[in-house]
Amino acid sequence: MGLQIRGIEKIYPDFRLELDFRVRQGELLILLGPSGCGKTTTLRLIAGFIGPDSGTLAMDGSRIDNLPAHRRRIGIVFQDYALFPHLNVWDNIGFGLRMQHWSPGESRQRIEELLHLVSLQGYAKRKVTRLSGGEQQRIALARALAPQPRLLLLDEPLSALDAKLRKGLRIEIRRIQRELGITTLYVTHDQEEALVLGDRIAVMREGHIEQIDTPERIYNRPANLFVGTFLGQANLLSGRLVRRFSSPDGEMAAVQTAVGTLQARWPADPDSPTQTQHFPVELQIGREVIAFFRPEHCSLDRRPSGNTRSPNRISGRVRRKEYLGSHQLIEVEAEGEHLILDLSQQQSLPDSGLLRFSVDPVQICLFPAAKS
Amino acid sequence: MGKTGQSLERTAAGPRTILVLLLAPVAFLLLFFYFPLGSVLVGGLTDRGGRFSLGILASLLVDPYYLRIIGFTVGQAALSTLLSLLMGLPGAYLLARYDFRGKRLIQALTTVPFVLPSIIVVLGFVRFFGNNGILNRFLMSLFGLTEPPLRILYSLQAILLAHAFYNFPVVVRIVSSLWRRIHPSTEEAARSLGAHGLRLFWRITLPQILPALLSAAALVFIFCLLSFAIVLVLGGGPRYTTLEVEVYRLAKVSLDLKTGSALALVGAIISLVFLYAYIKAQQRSSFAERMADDAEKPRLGGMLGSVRGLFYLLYLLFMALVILAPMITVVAYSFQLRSGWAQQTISLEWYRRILSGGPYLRAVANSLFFACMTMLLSLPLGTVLAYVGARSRFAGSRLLEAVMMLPIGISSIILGLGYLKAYRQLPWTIVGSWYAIVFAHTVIAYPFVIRVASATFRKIKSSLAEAACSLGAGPWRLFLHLELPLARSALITGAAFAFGISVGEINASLMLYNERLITIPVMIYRLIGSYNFIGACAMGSVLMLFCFLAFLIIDRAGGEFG
Amino acid sequence: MNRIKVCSRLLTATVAAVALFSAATLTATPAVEKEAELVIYAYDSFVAEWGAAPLVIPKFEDKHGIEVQVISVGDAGQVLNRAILERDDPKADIVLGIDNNMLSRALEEDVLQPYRSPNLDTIPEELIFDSTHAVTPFDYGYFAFVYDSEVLQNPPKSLEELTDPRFRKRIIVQDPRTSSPGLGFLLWTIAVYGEEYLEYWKRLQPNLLTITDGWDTAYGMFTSGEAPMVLSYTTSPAYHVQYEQTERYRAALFQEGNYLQIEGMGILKGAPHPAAARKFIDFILTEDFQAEIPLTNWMYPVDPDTATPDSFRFAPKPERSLQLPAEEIRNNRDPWIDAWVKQVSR
Repeated sequence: MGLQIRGIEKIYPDFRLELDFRVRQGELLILLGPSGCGKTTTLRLIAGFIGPDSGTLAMDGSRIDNLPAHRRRIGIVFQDYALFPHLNVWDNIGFGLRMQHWSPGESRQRIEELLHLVSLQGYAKRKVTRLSGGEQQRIALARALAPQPRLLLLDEPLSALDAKLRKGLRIEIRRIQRELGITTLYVTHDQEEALVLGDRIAVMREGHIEQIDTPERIYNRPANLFVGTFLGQANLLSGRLVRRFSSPDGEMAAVQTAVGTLQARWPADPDSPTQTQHFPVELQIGREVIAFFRPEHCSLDRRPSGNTRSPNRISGRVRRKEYLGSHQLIEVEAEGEHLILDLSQQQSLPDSGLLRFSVDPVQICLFPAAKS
Repeated sequence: MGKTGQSLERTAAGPRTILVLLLAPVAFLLLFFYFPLGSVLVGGLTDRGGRFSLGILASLLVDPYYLRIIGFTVGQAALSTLLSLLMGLPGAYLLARYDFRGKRLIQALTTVPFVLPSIIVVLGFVRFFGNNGILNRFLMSLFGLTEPPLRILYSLQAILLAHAFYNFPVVVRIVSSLWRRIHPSTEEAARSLGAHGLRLFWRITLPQILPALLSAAALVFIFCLLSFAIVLVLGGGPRYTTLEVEVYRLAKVSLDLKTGSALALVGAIISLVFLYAYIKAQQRSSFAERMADDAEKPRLGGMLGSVRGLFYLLYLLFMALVILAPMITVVAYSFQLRSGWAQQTISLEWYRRILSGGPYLRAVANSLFFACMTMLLSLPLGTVLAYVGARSRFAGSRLLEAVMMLPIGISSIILGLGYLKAYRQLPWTIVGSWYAIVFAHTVIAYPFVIRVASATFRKIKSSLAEAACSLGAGPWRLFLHLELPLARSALITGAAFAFGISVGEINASLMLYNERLITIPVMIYRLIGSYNFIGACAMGSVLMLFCFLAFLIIDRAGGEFG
Repeated sequence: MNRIKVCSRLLTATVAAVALFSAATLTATPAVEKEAELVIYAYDSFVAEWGAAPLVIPKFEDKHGIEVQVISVGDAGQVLNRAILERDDPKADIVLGIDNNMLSRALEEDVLQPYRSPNLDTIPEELIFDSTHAVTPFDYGYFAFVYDSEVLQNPPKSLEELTDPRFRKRIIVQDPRTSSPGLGFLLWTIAVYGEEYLEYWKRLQPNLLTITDGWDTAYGMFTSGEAPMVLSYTTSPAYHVQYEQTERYRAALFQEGNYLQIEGMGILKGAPHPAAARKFIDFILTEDFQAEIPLTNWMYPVDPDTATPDSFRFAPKPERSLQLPAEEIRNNRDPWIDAWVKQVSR
């Protein structure tokens, strides 16, 4: 059943939070967004440290928004670990068990289980202030999980750690979450973490969720420009919608841009149930639009010019090349527009500044030219 | 940060629990502080006919004599505070950047003068810094002079210096606590950009330690504002009169409590303003401390080789000496047999007398008993009030906190008088009973418990409380299992203060004691009053020993958390 | 958590210990005190172990079989204050320590009832400072400047000589508002200089090291050697002779005369035990009481037949004794003091 957030509203003088979504049973949902978008506030609302102005929260079918924070049985892992400095590792993990009146025998068993789970057996008597960042975070996780919560909240748990540690630990977290099958809400601003860890990602902006979807869909089928440009790199071309037509790949659109007329997929796609509150605006012929495609959706054009078989052919001048080992990024200028291509290193590039490439029409998304 | 700051409103106790918690403490305070206080202060707010009138206050505030007193009081407090800050900054820096052996010892020692009865403090000061004091005699014999070179006593300088010497440990304590947690990287970054020395301090360090500086300044200001014995004795006479001294004169001499009460009221209002400022500053300071960690510091011993290290060592020695010297003088004098400097025979005569029983031993036993009881009462009282204060968020809660700490701003003479006056109408009188003394001491001591406790409660990171809460700890268990253990070291410090203050309390005790209930300070007062200065010093030494031991033992039992 | 358990156990243990201790100490004295049949408010040095009370009270109790309770309320000024505070419901019968300078105030506040003891006949007329007999004298003394003869070979011989520049910052005096010697000295200067007393103080001021609030602080500074001269009593040197076997401290008698202080005690209006109080007033004028005064209170006994100890050789009596009439003190005391404060605050 998972966590249900219905019509939650929290109004601040300079900010407004509106939430209505679901975290499925056993899934790891990422809350992703820029700082200040309200992800931590959302966690706090769910945890019960803040009260909503309206709306309800339900866990596994029963309401929890009417419960005080200490009765919601939610485990939380904080960015600063928040380990109790006056207790050792064993007592930290066992804190929740004591609060919920577990018997000593059961507690002991459970704590040992958890130490094993986070691979820190033998740490029982250590002082928490002497642990490294990674160890502290694992203890924090163990502590949160000990009293068998039905929901796990993680608030940027890895942001205080260095990159290498982060990569290792996030695998750990994922493994443990899968093993226990616990419903999890994970807040981060790190896109890589989001893409790697999440069963689904909810992208937030200014207090509401722009899109909830699987990582692939978020990446390839962003609901709007914000989502599209927040994750990964994007090429944006402004243009005007001139025609709609059918093709073997589905409904297509023709967009007139500075670099030529491009073919793109017509946005309304029935098999992408995006759970956002902003439904795609109906596009009309003659409207100003933005064509959106990822750098890796470009491929070099091998055929000499003149052959008009592959659509979306663009030619431009190479401005910059970045060799990244497994692939290379090329910045190209075409008709005043700056585009980025992401090509595998196998493709050798012509030496002349001129480059011809094409973009896969199916991968081009169209968005209305935003007024905001 | 506004949104995160609200999280605690859901983890802390609800308004109903707070009300219940506050019931006992508030009742106690109403009965044993506000009621007696009111019965005295009401004199300043009523005219001869007994009707409420601001006439007396008004006439006070236009009388040039009293205006001068008020002006002087505030002025000398400001100067003393400035001096204390200047003297305390190097010490705070040392404590912040280095660790060294004997730090605890020095901290315990330098806190003792704070709780000693004023008469001993002054006696020691006179014997050390006076015209015929040890310092002058030493200098005279060293340089072959006939006249004492350092004539610093009985002047404004003496007042300022004495204030600074006794208050700068407070500055050191408060400021170093925050300074420790300032990450040196900000300074290093500034250095790499070319800032150094005073400029570095002014632009980078100072803004960061500012909350602690302000908090310490506010507190020291209040102490200097209400300073009494130092001004009375070391000032040299009526020319330097502060509010407290004038209140003392009026209360002692003429029972003219109209003017005295009005004056005390003015003093209380000024204190209240600065108490409020202190609490606000402390809030900021604790918040800043909360955000940072207390890392391990390099040891001072390693620095000794360099010139800088030597300077620090000298500073430490100088400060410790200057604070300890008067106390040591008193102790030294107690081992004599005759008065005057001519005949000095070392003798344990007075200690023999003290230990052989009789009134001296009774005074010692009584003082210990009262101090323990005061500790037992003021700890829960102060802790509950501090907790409620630190956790409440409604508008005006800071003001309420300031009011809770009001006894710091009230002369204990007025309090003692209040006890005498207030309970007369009641069928049963508590004056003459041991619990009257305990209650009076508790009222005087508990604000100091609040001071340390609330600073610590505020320092507890909200994430800790949230973590505990999410693990199933309701507000009560949150307090019991998280906040109380984390505040343990502060509570222990508070207990030590309560003990020390009770043992050294003189003014209220003088009003409330009888032969059975005599305490060490009263005995000292008596001994002085009848030429027995050696005996007074002996009893004073015993008192100092207790305070020092209490601070040391209890300080050792405490520890620092995070 | 183990720590919490340990802590709470420790706490309970401490509380139990303290409770036991308190029970022990406080039940050592009888729980129910026998109702005192005479209550006296006195100043501290009278009540102290080395004061007069432990010697004279048992004598009285044995003689008359009356249980006496002597309570210390601070110094002499505070004794009067306490009496005034309790005027509506006096808890004491006798207040001890009202001197000739305080008399006016005591009479003004009307807290005493007159009683003329028959034993007054043996007392010299000039020492009976209250004609209404609300206050009965029991000892007297003279204010004098006590000096350290080892430092000061050439002591002053008059008030005027005190202003000599050679005494610059070498004199300690007390504040008349809070100290009876202080008040005595102020009245002394008024008795000698009349209207010009403020001029005198102006001349004297540079020679004052400090003006303390009470005698104890002043004398403490004196014996510490802060200054070689202090305002005290002619009897002070006797103490040092008696108990410290030193004659270095001497009292200076002035040409203009020294100011007289006579101490007395009175029965409070509305006293609970007036009959016993009267008996006590009679008692203080007898040999039993008067004989103990010199070495405990360090004053002269009012009874001229009582012998003074040998050490009192160093407590000289002046040729001239000065005193201002009570009525004059009553009318002018406050203005005098106010003017004085203004003068010395400059």
